[in-house]
Amino acid sequence: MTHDLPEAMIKQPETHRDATIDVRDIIATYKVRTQRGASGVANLRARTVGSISEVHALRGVSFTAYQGESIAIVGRNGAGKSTLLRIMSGLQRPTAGEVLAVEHPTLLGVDAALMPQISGARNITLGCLALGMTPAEVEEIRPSIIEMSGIKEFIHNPLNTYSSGMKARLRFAISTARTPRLLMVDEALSTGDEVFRGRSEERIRSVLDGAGTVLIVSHSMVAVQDLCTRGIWLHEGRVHMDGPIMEVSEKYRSWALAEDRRQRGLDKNQ
Amino acid sequence: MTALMPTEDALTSVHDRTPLWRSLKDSWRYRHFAQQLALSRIMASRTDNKLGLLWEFLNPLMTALVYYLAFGLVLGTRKGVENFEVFLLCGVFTWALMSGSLVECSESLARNSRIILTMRFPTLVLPLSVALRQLLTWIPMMAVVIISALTSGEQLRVNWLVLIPATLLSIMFGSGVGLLLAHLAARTRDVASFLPFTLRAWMFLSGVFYDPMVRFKHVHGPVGWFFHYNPASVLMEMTRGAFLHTVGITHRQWISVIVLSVVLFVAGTLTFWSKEGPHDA
Repeated sequence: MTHDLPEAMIKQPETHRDATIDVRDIIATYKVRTQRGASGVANLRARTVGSISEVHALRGVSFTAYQGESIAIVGRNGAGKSTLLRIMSGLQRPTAGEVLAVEHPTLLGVDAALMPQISGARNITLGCLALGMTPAEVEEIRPSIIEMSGIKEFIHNPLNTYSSGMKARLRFAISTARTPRLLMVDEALSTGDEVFRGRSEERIRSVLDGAGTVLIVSHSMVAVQDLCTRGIWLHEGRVHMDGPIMEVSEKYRSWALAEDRRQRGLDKNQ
Repeated sequence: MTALMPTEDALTSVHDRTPLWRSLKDSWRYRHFAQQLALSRIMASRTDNKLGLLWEFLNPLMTALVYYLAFGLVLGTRKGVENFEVFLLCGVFTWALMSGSLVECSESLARNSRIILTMRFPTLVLPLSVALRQLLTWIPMMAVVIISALTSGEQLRVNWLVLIPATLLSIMFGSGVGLLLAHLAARTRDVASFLPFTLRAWMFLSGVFYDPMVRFKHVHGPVGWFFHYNPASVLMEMTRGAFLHTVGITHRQWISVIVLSVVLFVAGTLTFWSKEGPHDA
């Protein structure tokens, strides 16, 4: 669980607060069917169905989150952020390791279960029932969802006529209709305007006030810097850095800039 | 590290399996979701058509019309069958109910993979919503059969009550087979590609537009046995028996189809449940 990379640093958690989610040594390996060997003449199986290769998405991730903490999980594409989020929310089983939590986390993903051909109003019903509410609870909560998503005049139009911002707002409003104790957000804050960002920050703060924990996955530090207290930087399936948001974000940004420069340099040389 | 671990008794694993009774109880708790999902699916499937929801029963009605022309008139399977119109409608509609439950249950995991990946609810709700949807489209179909039976001179009889077990058994048998296939279908698209051909062959052998019990009366051995106990045929004959005097099924056929439907339904539900829960990475 120690990291011998030079700038790696693990913040020791404060012991007087209660943990809400405990991630223990998560390993996730995917088997992927590749088309390598497709040109080979000898291997018929490889030509028709491809060969199997392994992808190591997570190589041992551990951390504990506490009440009232909002954590930004950052990292480049392919660092394992989305896999970690799916495993933490209990939707996917890890290859090894375990996740313990106070309740089943609510995952707010980019493609939550909304049906494009039916109206916003029906999607609210469907989404809330899928979250386990009773029909009476749905009706009780409906006005606040409509208010939060700001789609009042379009509520009876089918979802596929909505802009992507409107869809994102509706999804966020449905998923957070009931204040969860563990909320996981997958880059949702990047969509939506300033007004909506304000409202969603309000919702996130209400989770934190209710002794909950929020985890936000993003590849942009700027979007989450104001909202989070702690940062976890994933790199190639491992926790590269875990600490106060300002420190992590600073290190991450200068690394990302250097990476960017290095890659551009490579492009120029070619 | 252990010294820093907070009070652990409050935390439970997010990947634990749900026991069967909990799963069934949860499915019942989510019944309103199943209902809304069924309604939404019916609405969503027809939004691109001008006639909209009407297609839900125009579709089997047109099938019946095509079979009437192609098989009843051109190939002459109409001959020797009393009230062929009602006979054919019962066959087409019962097949639609049974095979519809089968196909949709088998696709319930593959088609809803996005919902399953983003939301946590008992997956048994999905086949439950399929059954509800089938039941909802079955009602107008039965209305058509009843109208055509009454206009062709059949009387309202106690026998009509046989429609209740016929409906239930068709849904149970169809969804039982579908549930057994669902996980395989979610892993490989081959199942969905192969299924239509199997079903078509099965349908033609089951006698939607002819009576296999009459036509293959003199066939013996395993083939004759198949034509006699083929659940699809028996279910169609059961529906027809509600309206037509000339058609009926024996006690043995009753028992065979009840046992088969219940066993497949229970086995399908158990198989489906046993693979519920988080997906392996």
